Amino acid sequence: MKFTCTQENLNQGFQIVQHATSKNLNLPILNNVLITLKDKEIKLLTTNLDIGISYTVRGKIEQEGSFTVNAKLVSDYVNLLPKENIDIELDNKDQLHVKCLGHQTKIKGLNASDYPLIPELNKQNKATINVELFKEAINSVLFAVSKNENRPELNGVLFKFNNKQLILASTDSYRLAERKINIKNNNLGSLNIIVPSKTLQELVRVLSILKSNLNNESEIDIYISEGQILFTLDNFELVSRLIEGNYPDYEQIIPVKFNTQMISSTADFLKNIKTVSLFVKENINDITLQFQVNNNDPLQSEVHIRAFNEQLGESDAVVKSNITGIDNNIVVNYVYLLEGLNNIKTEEIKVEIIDNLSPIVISSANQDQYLYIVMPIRQ
Amino acid sequence: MTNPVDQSQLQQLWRSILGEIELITTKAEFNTWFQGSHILELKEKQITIGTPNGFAKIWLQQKFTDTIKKLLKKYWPEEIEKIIFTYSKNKNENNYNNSNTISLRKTEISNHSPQQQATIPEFGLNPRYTFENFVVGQGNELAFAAAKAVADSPGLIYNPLFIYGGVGLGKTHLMQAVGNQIKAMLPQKKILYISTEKFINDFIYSIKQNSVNEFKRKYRTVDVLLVDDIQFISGKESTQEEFFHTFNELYQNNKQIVLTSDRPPKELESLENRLLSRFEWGMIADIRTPDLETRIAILQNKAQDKGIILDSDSVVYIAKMVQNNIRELEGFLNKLLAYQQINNTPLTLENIRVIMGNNIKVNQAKKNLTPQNLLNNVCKYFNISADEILSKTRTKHLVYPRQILCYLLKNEANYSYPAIGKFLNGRDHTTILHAVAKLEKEIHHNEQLRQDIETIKKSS
Repeated sequence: MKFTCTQENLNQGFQIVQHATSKNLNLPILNNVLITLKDKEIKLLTTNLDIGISYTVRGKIEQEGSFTVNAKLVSDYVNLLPKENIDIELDNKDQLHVKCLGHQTKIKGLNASDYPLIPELNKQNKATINVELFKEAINSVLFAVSKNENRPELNGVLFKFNNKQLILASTDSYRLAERKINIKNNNLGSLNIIVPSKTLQELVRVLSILKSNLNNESEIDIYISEGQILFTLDNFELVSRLIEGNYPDYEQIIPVKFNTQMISSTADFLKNIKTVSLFVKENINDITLQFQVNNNDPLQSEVHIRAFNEQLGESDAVVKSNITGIDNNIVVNYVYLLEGLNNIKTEEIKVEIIDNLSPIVISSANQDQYLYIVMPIRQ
Repeated sequence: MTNPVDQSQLQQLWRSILGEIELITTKAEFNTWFQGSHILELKEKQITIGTPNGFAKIWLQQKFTDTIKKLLKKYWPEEIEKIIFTYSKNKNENNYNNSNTISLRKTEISNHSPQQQATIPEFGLNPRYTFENFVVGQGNELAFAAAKAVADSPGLIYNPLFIYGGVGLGKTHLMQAVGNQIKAMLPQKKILYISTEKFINDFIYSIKQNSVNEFKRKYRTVDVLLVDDIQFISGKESTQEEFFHTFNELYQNNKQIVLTSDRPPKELESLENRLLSRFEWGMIADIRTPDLETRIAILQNKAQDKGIILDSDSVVYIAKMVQNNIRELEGFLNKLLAYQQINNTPLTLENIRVIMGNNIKVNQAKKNLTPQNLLNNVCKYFNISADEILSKTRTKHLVYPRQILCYLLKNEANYSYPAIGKFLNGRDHTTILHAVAKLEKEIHHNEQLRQDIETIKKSS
């Protein structure tokens, strides 16, 4: 096996695949990256048996072959090399020779035939989604995934394919996030799957690295079969197992009738919550939202945001808002609130509540694409 | 053969095949690729094998098809031409509770200050402590029986119940178990569990706030009063007086009182006599250090609770190493648990030895006990010289330390009687025998002696 490649290309390749390795003591080979030269392609691949990532880099192949070396070592090393061409060659003593402008290194490795194989999916049906939109949608629900391992089905994000729409939902049973996006092309039909949050974190990370290679029109393909999901984008592939089980029927907990409804500037609301939050009680993070309706002119209604801490003091902020319904108040964890608000990109938000015991619902004001629900703190 | 074969036969077949494969693969390989695999069906010369994930499926397909084919030939009379691998969850493993509903939870906060809500559950009782998970052994059966009797009929038989014993042997557990059982059987009863320190603080606070009446109301209206570590009341005179009145009031109304302490009532220093006599009124039960069998039982219980898998050799080993204190035992189990989780490896006796190595200092120190060391420590403790203790003088202030030295040489350094005699300036072995036997008898009821010996042991 012998090839030549630029430092930039090889480095990007290693950065992309490196994270899927695992520190599995039983199978030490999982620490390694598999380098395969075949059919004029240089393919890098790593896996931890939950997910597998592969990336094809450009380069000149002189002799086909394959080999595995420690992924962290080789990627750290290549990262520090000068931005020149790198020559790589395998000798007959299981050592990889890496040469680059004055650097000469031999890296020991393991035979490629012991490396796990990546499951191949049936590629007949797929869904195609705009990459930027998809990435942003994942980010807007990923933070609400439960970290409690008692209910494995909540440790992932629900992907609900329905014709030309994809709904992403997640909950940790204190709050719930739901995002609807349109997809260009869907042969998968109606399908519900649960994708582990680790897989999505990894996907988002790689998509950020690939950003420079992409444009606004770039699209990612999704294939699903036999308990596995495959994401492909140009020369990048990520395959992952899915979480088995059924996602709970979350829609029944989204309230439909409200007593108070507020439309407010997203930026103002966000900033005032951040300001007041300096005075919350430690570990409780409670802030009070008090809605005061001005019946003569609803546009001049006010929402008070308050926090009180025995040691630090107390704080109160007023945001002029459009409030309809009755006067109302609710106590919520501001961290939960901010995490949701950060994902609302529209200028105005809609906040709806029933009373101080029922969930507060936050959504973007002029479209029903994003929905975020937080349970109140009861005092 | 055209009909599908029945499942138990298939399971049997797959077990035989796995048995052979296990021999030719490494353990890691076997666990990674074959765990959760199973035969789905076998018909018309075609066998379908289910694997728990796609990785295992493709690996078996690529690397093990020939092996499996060979083994099938060996274990199955019919010829099989085709092996199909497919992704299929093992049905047996899919039985976990998968409720299809979800409800959002409120974060509930009471209006108390944060410290209070963090530490005090209902009545101060911790539901973890029950009679069911208390391991009964030789050292604690009396205390257990008494506590059980009290819980069955509070206020009627042993009142007060006074439990004493060393640190970490289960006094608090028993006392809380009494409270928990009464609470479960007679929910209307008012149960109050407090530490003596809390009682004292409450009392001081009530004087400061001029709310003594409220204090009295709080303590004198309960049906069951559980007071932990009553020895701390020593020397606090007005608290003792208040406690005395509370005690009388409750006692006269047939309300149950349970007390714990680290020593028997008689040895509670500077305790007023009227209080002392009341403590001795009902039932005094001691808890002693558990014997090996009890420790093993406790260890197995706790290990099971925590989900640590230990083989019997390891259990015996740990029980032998940690002798005096159940709390220490529990702490060590936590350490094992952490080790198991971090390294994701099963615990073997070897591992445990290594982990224990940096944990148990006391037992290692024991090995370094030399007669000379012991002699020095005893002399230092009693502030006498080595010459004096080795001399023939038999004044009282020398005889007692000398006996303790004999006891320690025998029990800690494992010296024989004649050897001790020789070491102590050529005394007769019967003299030593007498000294050791005397202390061994006395140590059970002479608290002063026990403490002296413990302190010297610790300083060694």
